[in-house]
Amino acid sequence: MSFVDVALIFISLMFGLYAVASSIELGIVLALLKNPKSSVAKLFTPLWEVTNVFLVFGFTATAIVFSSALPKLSHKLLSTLVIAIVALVVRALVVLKIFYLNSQSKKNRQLFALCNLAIPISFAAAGIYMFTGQYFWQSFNGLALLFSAIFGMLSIGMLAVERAEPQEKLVSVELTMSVWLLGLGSIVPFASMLSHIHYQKAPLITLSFLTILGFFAALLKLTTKPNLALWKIAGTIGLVSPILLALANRPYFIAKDTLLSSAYSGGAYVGFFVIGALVTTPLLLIGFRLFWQLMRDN
Amino acid sequence: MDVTTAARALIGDTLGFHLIFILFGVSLPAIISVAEGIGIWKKQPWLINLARSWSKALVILFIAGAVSGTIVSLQFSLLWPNFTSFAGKVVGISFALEGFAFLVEALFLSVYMLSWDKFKPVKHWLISLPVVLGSVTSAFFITTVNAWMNTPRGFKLDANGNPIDINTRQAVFNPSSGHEIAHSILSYFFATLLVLLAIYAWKNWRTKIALNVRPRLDLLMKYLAIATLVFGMLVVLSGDRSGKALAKDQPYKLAAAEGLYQTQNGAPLEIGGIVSDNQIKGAIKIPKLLSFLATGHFDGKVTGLNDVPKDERPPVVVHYFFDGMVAIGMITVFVPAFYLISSKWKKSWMNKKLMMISLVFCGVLGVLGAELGWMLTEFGRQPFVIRGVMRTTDAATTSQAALHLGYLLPLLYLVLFVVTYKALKKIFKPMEALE
Repeated sequence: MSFVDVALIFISLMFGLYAVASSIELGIVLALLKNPKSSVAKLFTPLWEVTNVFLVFGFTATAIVFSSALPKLSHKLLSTLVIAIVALVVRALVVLKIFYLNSQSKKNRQLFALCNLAIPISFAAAGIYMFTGQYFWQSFNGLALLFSAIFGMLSIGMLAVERAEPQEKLVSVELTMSVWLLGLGSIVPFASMLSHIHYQKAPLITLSFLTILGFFAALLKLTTKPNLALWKIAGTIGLVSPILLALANRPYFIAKDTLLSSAYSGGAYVGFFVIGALVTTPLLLIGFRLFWQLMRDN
Repeated sequence: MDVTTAARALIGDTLGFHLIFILFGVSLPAIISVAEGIGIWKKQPWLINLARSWSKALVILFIAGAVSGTIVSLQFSLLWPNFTSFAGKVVGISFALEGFAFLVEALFLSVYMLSWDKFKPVKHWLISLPVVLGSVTSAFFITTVNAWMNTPRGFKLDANGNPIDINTRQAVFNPSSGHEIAHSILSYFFATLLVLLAIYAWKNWRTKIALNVRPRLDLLMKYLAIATLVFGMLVVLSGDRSGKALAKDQPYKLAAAEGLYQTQNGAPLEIGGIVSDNQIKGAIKIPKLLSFLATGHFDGKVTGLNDVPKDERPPVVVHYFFDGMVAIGMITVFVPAFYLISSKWKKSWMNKKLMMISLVFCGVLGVLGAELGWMLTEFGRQPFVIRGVMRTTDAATTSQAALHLGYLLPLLYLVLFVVTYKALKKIFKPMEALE
């Protein structure tokens, strides 16, 4: 495995973590929109803002490791990512209004939910461009991926809420998850054949295998209600699918357009990055452990 | 508006907005940690309560700062792709390490806020240390990037203008790093302390202070004034170092700031005046002072704009920023010093309305001074984004989407500023801890 592969995994993981955290927050606010007096209200806190760091990390790492591709990314994706930029500011506004000005109106919560969906979806649309070499509306593959992203976020969010408060079941989570995984696991590899891009087969086969497993788990739960930890399966797929799609896209950084080798800015920072990670990891592990413990106690 | 102008307006708006919040984000954790630490050590619960009260304000400021910071990182890549592409290869490590520092700060700030009343006092105070570490190192690394933009080092250019033979250490620790880091971080502390002092001066002036609160309020204001004065002096000293370094490494910037056209020995310092046709008119001239400030000698040689190619000269409008920053520095050191002197020798002046108004005014000036300093360094580098290497016009995106964003974001920042202020007003009760 080369440094480029490690960088791709790291970047995708950061965006994946951000998307999963956003999904959970989305699930919480959707539950509150359905039932304003829901007990999940205790999970609705401004502390989720800390997850912005994953976005910063993902984007900074892209800018550093694949800096040669930035002019092209900017030219092609600025209009797509403008939505995320605007949504980030609007979300900060709504966070301040909801949590610090006690303006818990339905309109604010709706706006919050919309922003929480818009930011990851805007990044997903950018990822789709890099995976297919076209905007999402220009190919069947792109549309399938976008719908998968939306349904994936809804599934993860609703499953997380259901896990925290089993009585707060929102619509049929299993059905939503099935739609998501059907798109991701079956349609994408099939459509990739139609788009004449020679994607790396191993990551796509792994992704299909994972998603088909998840799909059957969701169907099983839908029909027989076994005690399956569906939220764990959904979260795992949500985290690994961006990684596998990025790896499948090799040797391209932007499909049909920019090769990873020409986007890559060099490995000069590996040592420094490893030192940075080594210095901060013990501290971060302590921090995350304390954070998790305190959140659970709350 | 063309795309480059839109991109400049956008990054200018975002950074100008972001700076207001990072002032506090960098320095307030350390100030809170010191207050809490002393409170625990000296068994003074009111100081611990004070730290708690300030930490509530910090979280609100952090939210606005974090979102504008996230947008800065997006804008660097999306609006200035050629700059980030180049800089990423040479000083990308600073961006990366700043990311780590931000993660540490954000994570531990959440833990710090969640663990009030849950951890023992010393353990809770220990949690503040990684927040301080994260905030200060974050400022350290990102300032090295700005310093490198002013004095780019640690690379050579190939025939296509791409960086080769990269020496990261030379790039990160370039000639401007030391004084720029020291001057900016000290200024953040200075401005934050001025704002805190201004808040309590405002309360002292506008509200009726209960008798039992008065001694603590006076003591707190005295502590804040001492700290402000100490940091003010350090800012003046680091500013002097910066001025000398500017004369050596960025003479074009100093020449523009002083409107000095001819290279000369015994150059005068020009104060005030009007900038017209890239020249300063009607300024008060103090003979030989610029030479002394820039070189340490009254007859020292100071480079003028005539030694800089015409198409590489920065706009002389930076003279306003320079004068404004220096004037603010002097006023904001003088007023807290006067407050301290009166607290020692003329107690009747201490809580006078005029004194309180002056301190409140200094709080506003502190933030304005930091903004002017940043504008001086950015405008003073023009027309380059990386001095001598990449022009600003060559660094911007080619996407027309920047134009639309150019109108929308400033409006959103304005709304965010108002909402942040309202949230602060509602949540942050500065007198609570003193009662």
